[in-house]
Amino acid sequence: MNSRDKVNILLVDDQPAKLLSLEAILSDLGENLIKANSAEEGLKHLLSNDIAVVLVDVCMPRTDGFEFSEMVRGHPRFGRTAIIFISAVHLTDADRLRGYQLGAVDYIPVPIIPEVLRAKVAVFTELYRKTEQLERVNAELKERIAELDRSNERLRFADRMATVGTLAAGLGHDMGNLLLPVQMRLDALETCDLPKSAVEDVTAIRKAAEYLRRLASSLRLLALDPENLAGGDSATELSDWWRETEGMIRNGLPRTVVLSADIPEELSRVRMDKASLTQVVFNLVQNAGEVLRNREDGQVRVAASMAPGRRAVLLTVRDNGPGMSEEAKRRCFEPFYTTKTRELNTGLGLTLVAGLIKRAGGTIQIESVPGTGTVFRLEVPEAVPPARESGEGLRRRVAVVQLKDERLMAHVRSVLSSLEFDIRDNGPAEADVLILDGQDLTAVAGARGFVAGRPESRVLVFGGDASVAIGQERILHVETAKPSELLSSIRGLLTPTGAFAGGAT
Amino acid sequence: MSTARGRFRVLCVDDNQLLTESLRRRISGDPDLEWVGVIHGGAGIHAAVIETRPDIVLMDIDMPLVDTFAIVERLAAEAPGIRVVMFSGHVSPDYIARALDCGAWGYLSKNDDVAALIDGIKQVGGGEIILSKEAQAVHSRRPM
Repeated sequence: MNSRDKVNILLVDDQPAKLLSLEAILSDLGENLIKANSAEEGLKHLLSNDIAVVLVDVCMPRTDGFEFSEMVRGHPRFGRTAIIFISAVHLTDADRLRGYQLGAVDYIPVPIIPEVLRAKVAVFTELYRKTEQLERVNAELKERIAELDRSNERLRFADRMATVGTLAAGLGHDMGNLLLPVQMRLDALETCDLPKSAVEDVTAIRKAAEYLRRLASSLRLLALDPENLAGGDSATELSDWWRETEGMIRNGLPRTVVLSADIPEELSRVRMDKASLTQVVFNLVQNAGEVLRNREDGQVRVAASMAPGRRAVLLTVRDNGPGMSEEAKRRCFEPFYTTKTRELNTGLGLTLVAGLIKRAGGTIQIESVPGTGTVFRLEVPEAVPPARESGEGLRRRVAVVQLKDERLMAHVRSVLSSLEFDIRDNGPAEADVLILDGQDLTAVAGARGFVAGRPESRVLVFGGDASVAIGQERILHVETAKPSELLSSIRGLLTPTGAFAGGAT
Repeated sequence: MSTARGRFRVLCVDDNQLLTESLRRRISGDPDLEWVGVIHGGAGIHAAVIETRPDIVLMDIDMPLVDTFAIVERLAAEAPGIRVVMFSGHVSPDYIARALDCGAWGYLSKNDDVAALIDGIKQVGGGEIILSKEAQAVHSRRPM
C-alpha cells in the first residue's frame, strides 16, 4: 500500500437512510465506503476485506453495536481495527464507557456534525495507512537483515573455502613434486639386488608414498572449484569398483565393526571416476567406523540401487552409531568442522565428499536421528553409454586423417582418439570420417564424391577455401582453430546433435 | 625425430633439483630415451634449448621470473622439430589451454605415476599430442 491507496471504511446501520447519510458525509474523503445493513452483514465484510475504520450504529435489532464490537474485538485479526460508535439514544456516560470498554476509539452522538465526523474518520484512516506502511517497511527490514546475515555466513564460508583451497592446492602440488622423485628412486632401488630386509623396507616406503599420493590427490581435489567442473566423462561400474576397493575400505574400519554391502551387478554405471567414488565412500565408511569404535555391535552397510524414477544410482552408507545432532547435520560439510578430536581427523573429509558428489552432478542427503544411526544417501547420475555401445553395432567409427601440418595432425588425432575413433592415415574407402587439409586441392576435390557414396559419412576440411562446404550437408569446413578449442569443436561437429547442422566455419 | 640409435633425446627444464636428478637417473636407464641435460631456469632457457637440439623438452611451468609459455611459443615458431611438453603439478583448464595454444605437444602431470610419465614422453616422441590422465579429465570438461 502506498500513501495514496484507498482504504476501506465499513458503515453498519440497519436503517438505509442513515447509511445513505453517512455515505454522503464521508464520500469527500475519497476512500472506499462499504455499507452493511446489519451486524451480521458487517462481520461478513470484515472477514472478506481489510477494513481501516468501522462506523457502527449502537442500536440495531438482533445484534446491536456493542455485541458487534465485542465479536470484532474477539477476533485476533481485528484487534487494531478502529471502531466508532454512532448513537442517537444511548448517550449516557455509562453507554459511552461501555463503548470504550468494548474497544471503541470514539463515540459520536446523533445529530452528526459532518465536518467533525469527517475529521475524526480521516485521522483513523491515515493512522491505518501509516501503520500498514510501517509494518511493510518493518517486514522488508527484517528480510534485509536476514539476507545480510545469510550473506555474512556465505562470505565467511567462502573465505574459509578460499583459504582451504589455496592451502590444499599448494600442499597437494608440493607433495606431488616430492612424491614423483620418491617413486622414481624406489623404482631404481627395486632394480638392484637388495637383501630381503631392504626389499621389505622399499615395499613399506612405497606403501607410505602411495598413501601420501592419494592424500595429495584428495587435497588437489579439494582445491578444485566444483562450480567450474561440468561433470566429466568417467563411468564406473559399481560392482567391479566394490570388488576392487572393498578390502581397502574395510581396512579403514575398527576390527569390531562389521561391514556389509549390497551392490547388485545389474546397476547402471555411474558418472563418476573410480578414485572419486572411492574417496567418497572411504570417507563416509571411515567416519561411521570412528563413531562405532568403542561398540561391540557396530555395523556399516554400503548399498546401491537405481534411484526410483530417475536416471541415477542411489548409494547409501548406513551405520548404527549414535546419530548426528541437528548442528552436526547442518555444518558437517564445512571445512574443518569435526566432532572428532584433531588427532583423529582433519575435518576435511565430508567437505571433499560433498565437492566430489556435486562435481559428478549428484546430490547428498543425511538422515540421522540421535540414538538410531545415520544414513548418507548419495544420488549419482548414471553414465551416458558410449555411442558405439548404444548404437546398432559395436564397430568403432573409422577416421582417416590427411593433414600436412604435423602438429595440427597430432592434435586432431588426439581429439579423435579421445572420442574413441579408430584413426588411420590412409584408406579413405573404409572411413566414416575423412579429415582433409583445405590446401590439398586434389583431396578436397574428391570430398563430394566421398560423401556421395557413403550416406553416414562426413568430411571435415581444415583451412583453405570454405566454399567446399557450400550446399553440402556432410562436408564441414573448419577454420584452423586454437588447439585448445579443437576438442569442443570437433566433438560438436561429429556428435549426433551437432553433426549435419550445416557449415561449421 | 629420434637419434641414430633410435632413442628420443630428452631435455628437462625445471628448478626442482630433487625431481630433475631422479628423472635423469630414470630416463638415462631407459633404452628408448636419452638424457641430454637439465636447465634449472634463468634467462637463457630459449638459447640453451636451441643449442642442445633435443627431440623432447619437459618444461616446468612455474619457474621464478620466467614466462615458460612465451618460451614454448618462440621455440614452436623457431624450432618446430623440438617438441615441448609442459610438465607441471598444477593441472588447471587454463594452463592446459595455454599450453596447447602456445605450441606445446601436450601436458604431463607431476601427479601421475612414473610409468605414465615415461610413456607420455615416448608418445610425444612418436608424434602424438599427450595429455596426462588428470589433464585429459580436466580438459575434456571444458564447456563447449
